[in-house]
Amino acid sequence: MGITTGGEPLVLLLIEDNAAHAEMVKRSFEQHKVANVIQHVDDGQKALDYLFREGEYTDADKYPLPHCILLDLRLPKVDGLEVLRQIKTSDDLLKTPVVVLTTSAADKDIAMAYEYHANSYVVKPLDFAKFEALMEDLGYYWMIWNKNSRI
Amino acid sequence: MIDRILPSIGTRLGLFVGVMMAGFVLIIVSVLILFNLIDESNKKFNLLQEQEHFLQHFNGSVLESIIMIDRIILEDQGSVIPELLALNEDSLGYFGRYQSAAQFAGLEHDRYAADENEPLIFRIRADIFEIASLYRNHQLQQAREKRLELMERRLPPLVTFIRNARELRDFDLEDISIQISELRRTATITIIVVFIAIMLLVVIIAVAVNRSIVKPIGRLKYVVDHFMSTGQTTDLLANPRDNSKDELVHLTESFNKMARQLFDNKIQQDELIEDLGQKNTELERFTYTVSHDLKSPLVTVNGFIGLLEKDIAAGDETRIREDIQKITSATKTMAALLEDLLELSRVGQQVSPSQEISLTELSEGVVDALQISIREHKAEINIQADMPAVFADKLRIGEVIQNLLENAIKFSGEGNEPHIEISATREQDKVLVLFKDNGIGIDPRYHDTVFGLFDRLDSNIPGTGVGLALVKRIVEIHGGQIWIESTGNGQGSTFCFSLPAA
Repeated sequence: MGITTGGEPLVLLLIEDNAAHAEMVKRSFEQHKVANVIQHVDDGQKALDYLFREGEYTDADKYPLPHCILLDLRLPKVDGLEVLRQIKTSDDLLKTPVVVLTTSAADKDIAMAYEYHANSYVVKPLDFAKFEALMEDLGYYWMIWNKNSRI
Repeated sequence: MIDRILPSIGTRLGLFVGVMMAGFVLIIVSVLILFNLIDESNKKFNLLQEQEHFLQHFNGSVLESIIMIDRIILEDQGSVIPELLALNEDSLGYFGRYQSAAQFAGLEHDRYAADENEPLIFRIRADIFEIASLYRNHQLQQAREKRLELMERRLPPLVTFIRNARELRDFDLEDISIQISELRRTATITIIVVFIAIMLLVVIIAVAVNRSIVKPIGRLKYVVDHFMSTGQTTDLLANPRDNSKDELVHLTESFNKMARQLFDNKIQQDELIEDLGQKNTELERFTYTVSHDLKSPLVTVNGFIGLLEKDIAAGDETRIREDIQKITSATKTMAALLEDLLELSRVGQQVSPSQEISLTELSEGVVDALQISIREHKAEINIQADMPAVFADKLRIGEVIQNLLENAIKFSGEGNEPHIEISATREQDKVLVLFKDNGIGIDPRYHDTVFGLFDRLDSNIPGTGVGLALVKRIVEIHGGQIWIESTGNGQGSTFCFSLPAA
């Protein structure tokens, strides 16, 4: 039983190439039941295909547009920053909050992410308790407390 | 022209100054000589005038003496006798001075005439004395006879002498004044001509010096300024005055050398800066990726230990196994990463020197070492029998071959038996090596990124993302290039790289 807004299921798109990290995120969200659907893609090209409904992701019912995007920066094929740039230059997607979730705490990455209009930048904590807490907070904040524009 | 005759600027300047000084000395000397000549002529002229003056006085005193004799003899005036005697001495004196003046002036004919007439003069003097003495002794008759004798026999030749002498005087005076004015004219013309000639020479030399010194200096300055503002040496190297060898040409040559050296140094410096910049970027990228990619498995390990605790508490055995498997895999990834990184850092320092390597033999050796994996994947590998030899580090090139083979096998595609062809051709001083496979291929969009450190195209296929970065590094250290020819979508790919030929 997930929390819904106006009957619409809450969709989270997780863009993460590390399968283990993806599973950690998924299990954290399962535990707190914040999102109804977690869609996971493991490289930058798949992420773009998903968001722009191309390739294998043309089915809008099976692959609904997300309410929030969790984006890793180092991705195979297309770099995370490039994915972010394309999201934020697309009229349809630019209002979708993008949270950069990465292991990198490099100043350059943080600066570049904000330059490309990331909505938030968080570094994966080494400690698992903190990791879980972060996922919970992120879920509540971006999926529930934060009001997205509907226009 | 002057710069060919006198190759040194010093000599040219010396000539210039020398000609000017010689010119002025010449002018001064000629002026002095001419003035000296004029001065001598003037002196002669003065002597002649003096001579005439004495001649007149002599003439006058003789005439007066005659008048006095007449007064003594005819009018019986004995009182003027002393005066007559004194006058007699005077006239002799004037004659003597006339005579010596003629000698001074070098007037031979005057002197000759004077010498010739000297006895006559002395005779007249003696006659006058005799007349005076006869009168005093009251022998008037004898005195009168003597006077008559004087008048008739002595005076006519004297008058002739004086007349001739005066004529000669006039002639000489005229002659000498013509000489003087001619000398003056000659002097003026000579000075003007010499002056003009020297000025012309000075102007000609000045123009030549200007052409051979000042203009090249101006040109050199322009070229130096041009070099300073643009850093270009092109104009400088094309100096048109290469047929002369003066100090300026040497200076220009030295400057050319300096400019070329500066230019070369600048290029070297720029290359060094670019090289350092590249190395720095590489290093930054390296530390960044290392910190990121090494942290990643740590997050996994910590995360799954946390999940493991929960799953143990819940007694979910399936998940417990999965958790442990994730932790193990993450630690293995980390170990592999560390090993590959060490390997990559070693590539920077070439371990063994380059040698002549048979690519065929080396490839066969690598294939032997990979037999287990090859058999497992049922891979077929064809190696060209007589590949050209390369000059490289054998161990490193072995690693390149191994990595490319492993890569081709790894990305052969589901259910596809790998077929790999290794071939090489010689192209000038390089050998081009080709690894052609029938695998999944690489989309042209990713042809560059696959060589990046930790860059991977598919996170589902195991690997660290170091292998191809290592291959690229080794090829580049040998001065070669590496690239991929592939259209992607399962059409296979060809890895091409160049190495120095043996």
